[in-house]
Amino acid sequence: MNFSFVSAAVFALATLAASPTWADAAPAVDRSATGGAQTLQDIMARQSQLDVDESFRSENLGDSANAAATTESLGTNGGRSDADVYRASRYNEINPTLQDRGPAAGVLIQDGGMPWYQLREGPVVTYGGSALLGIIALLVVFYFARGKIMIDGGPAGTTIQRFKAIERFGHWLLAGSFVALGVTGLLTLMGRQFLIPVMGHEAFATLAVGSKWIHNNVAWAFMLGLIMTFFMWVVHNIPNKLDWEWLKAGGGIFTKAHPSAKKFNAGQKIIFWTVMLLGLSVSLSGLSLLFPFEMPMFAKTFAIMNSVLGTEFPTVLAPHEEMQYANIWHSIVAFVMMVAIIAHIYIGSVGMEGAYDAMGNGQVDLEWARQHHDLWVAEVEAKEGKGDGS
Amino acid sequence: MKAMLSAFVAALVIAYGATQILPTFGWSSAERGSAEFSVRRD
Repeated sequence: MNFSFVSAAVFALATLAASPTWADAAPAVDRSATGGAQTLQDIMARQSQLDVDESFRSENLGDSANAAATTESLGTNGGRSDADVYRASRYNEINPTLQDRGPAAGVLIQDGGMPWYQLREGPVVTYGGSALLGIIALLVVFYFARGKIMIDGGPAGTTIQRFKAIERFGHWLLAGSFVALGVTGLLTLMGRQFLIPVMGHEAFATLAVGSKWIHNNVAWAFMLGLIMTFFMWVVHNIPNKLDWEWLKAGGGIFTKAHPSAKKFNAGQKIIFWTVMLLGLSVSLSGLSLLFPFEMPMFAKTFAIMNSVLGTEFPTVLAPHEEMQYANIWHSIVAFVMMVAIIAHIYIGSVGMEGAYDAMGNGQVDLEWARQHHDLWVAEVEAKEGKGDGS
Repeated sequence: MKAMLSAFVAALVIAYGATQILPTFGWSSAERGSAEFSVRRD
């Protein structure tokens, strides 16, 4: 699977969804009075959130060809003034000589920190937190409106094996680690705003250090669970015509009908692919954060997006910008996953009678299985019948 | 239930194992950001 393409598509959708309006371009500015340097109008335009074309200074980096001869007194720093060099540093257009060989050490100034911080502390927390509270509220309303989905006619009393022990192990490895990562991720993201005022800095510091340890190290269990469940269930989750019929019937959620399904119905397939694709994306951005500056991937992803979608995302990113994008993307994808998984937890527990048993002891009531996965039951019974006869 | 509990235990074992194995490759989440680790002082 082409990860970059998938990530690019998902990122584009998320970007478009989160940015219904684009910043207006700032009006042209006459900079002759300042000799081409910044004017008050430029500053005012930025404060008004207008999109200022920065090329007047990002490309104004001096010209070595104009350098005074070095034999003369008070040479001109290679034809470049201090302001030229400062601008070059700011726009990462220099190649400094350094003692530290670290990948990010050559970037002397990187001014993306505040926009990243404001995005992280503002919209990401606000919209992400609202999405979590929203899905919980929606499920509460749904529960009182629809009630628990019961087995029509009651349980049969006999059971059929739905998932083997290894399948349940893989599921719970993925689920348990995801919950741990979700909780510790939320603590890391929101703790400063919501917990420090309640518990104080010292208590939160202990909590934050523990959260960091769990988040950094349990991540490997999540990735293993993701790989296990992918290989165990991908064959059963390939979309087919039956899924369309299931979706048209709304899964029988509102009509109380029972559209036919094999081992996994269309709703479960949506959850499967959501977890797999977003799980892959969140894992890759997480690895990029675990190994700082060593796994840059956004410049390449943006280049593919630009060529496919005609967008104009930056394709040259400073190492710090790569980390900032990885951090924001990691949070956005995690929130989308949490919303989907909360709904999945609901329908697999309090929302439906008999559903939890599938991942509890692996044995589900036969009547439940016939109502929700009739074709799968028929397949299993046919196999067992074949086994008895042979 | 056994599968669930053993998976949770496995997640903790893997997490602990990561802290033991990763440093052998020259990486540690605890040391990663420290000046001693990331900056060479000549």
